[in-house]
Amino acid sequence: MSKIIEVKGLQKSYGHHQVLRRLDLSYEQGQVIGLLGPNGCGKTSLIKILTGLIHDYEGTVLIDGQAPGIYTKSVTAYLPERTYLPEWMKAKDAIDYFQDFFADFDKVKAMDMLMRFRLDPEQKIKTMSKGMQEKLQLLIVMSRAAKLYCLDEPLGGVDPATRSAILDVIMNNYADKSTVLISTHLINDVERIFNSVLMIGEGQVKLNASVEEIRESGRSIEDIFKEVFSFAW
Amino acid sequence: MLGKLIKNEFKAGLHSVANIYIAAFAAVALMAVSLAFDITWLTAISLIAVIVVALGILIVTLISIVSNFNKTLFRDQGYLSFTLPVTSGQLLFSKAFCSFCWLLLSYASVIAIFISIFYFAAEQVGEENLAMIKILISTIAELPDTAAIISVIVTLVTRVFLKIIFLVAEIFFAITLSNVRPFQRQSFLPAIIIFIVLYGVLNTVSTLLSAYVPLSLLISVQGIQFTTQAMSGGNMVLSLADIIFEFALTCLFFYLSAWFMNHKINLK
Repeated sequence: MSKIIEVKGLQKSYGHHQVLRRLDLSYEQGQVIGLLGPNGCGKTSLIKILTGLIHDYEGTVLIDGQAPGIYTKSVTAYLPERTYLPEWMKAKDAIDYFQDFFADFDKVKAMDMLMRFRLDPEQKIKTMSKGMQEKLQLLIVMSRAAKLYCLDEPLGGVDPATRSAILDVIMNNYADKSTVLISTHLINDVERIFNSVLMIGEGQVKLNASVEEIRESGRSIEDIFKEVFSFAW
Repeated sequence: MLGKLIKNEFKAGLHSVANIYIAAFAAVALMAVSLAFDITWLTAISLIAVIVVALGILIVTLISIVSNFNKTLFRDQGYLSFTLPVTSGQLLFSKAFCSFCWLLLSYASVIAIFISIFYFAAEQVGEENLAMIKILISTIAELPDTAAIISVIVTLVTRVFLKIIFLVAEIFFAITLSNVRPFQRQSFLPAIIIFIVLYGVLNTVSTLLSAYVPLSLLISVQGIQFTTQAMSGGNMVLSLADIIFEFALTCLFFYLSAWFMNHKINLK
């Protein structure tokens, strides 16, 4: 299988503060990867680099064999931890916008999910609650048949019932053979869906293992998380 | 992709400026009604409203260009813009093209409004509008060469276009530079300071170049000719030095803006 993510010697600093230190990663297609770590450990920076939002880093980053650029953006679906849709748009405008720019976008699927979420296609984003905006963003991102999905804290700030619904949307809608990278610190809710776990702390990889390997050790992901990041508390 | 970017850019711009154009239409309609029915007090109020709205068109258009550029690239919406499968150059071009069109429309609207006010004022003092138009047409008809007049108009329009696109380039560069790391934390203040400094310095240099560099176009009814005389008040001489200077800077500002976007800007 070809590598969807290849990272070698990745370093990123903000001024004198180094957030990523010589990171090496490699993932093949068709996995759900949990990107775990305490706040400020570099999870979002790593995702921003993979999605082509941060350029001033050192090291090599390849998505589907290519450095971040037009091609990688066309095969990567990104859900940031904030709402990024223009407020003047209606829900249907946002769907049309994605259809305009992404060849892998499935409008029928998006409209179907819009109805299932009980969102009004005519409602302006400006008048939606934060929860509604997050749902709209999620359904738009998951309506793409991307090779790589980068979901940055998709469960942050939502109640347990909504978390479960969000996870269902993610798990039922990502394209076959795609890779899903989910950054979160709500391990309990998501550990059932991961194939692999990547723990980052102090800018370095603390653990990169398959869930099978972790289970064979007889411990849960949460136990290992607490052990690995005991320094953070 | 560029066409799609431009289409969506126009849609976004329309949402920002639509209200002021509706207000302008309403004010002009009010003035027309007051004139048609000879309601003096309403004419006075609508005249003030038209002037205020005309100025409002310019201000709202400028604010919308600045706000749209900053918001869609360097605030939350930047997370969408910069993850589209397009180059920074395409993003910049679409925004510059649409900003140029909105500015041009705003100038044209304001000129049209002030011309209508001029005719309104002329009517108030009793002059015949039709007679004035006839005089204007006969003056143009008496000019020796239509081709020469067209070339003069084309040259002057090109100059105005370049001025507009130069302004857009300065605004975009100032905002982009203010989002580079050393300035990023200070909200919008660095962009304002950078723009004022750029605008002041570069316009001074441009004026000096036009006054002292002997490379110009001599514009007359016979047509346009190159001349080595500098621009002066007495002649219809259009300086080329400042045009070349502004054109080069426009290209440089767009190039640098794209370069900063590609290499130095991390979204907050």
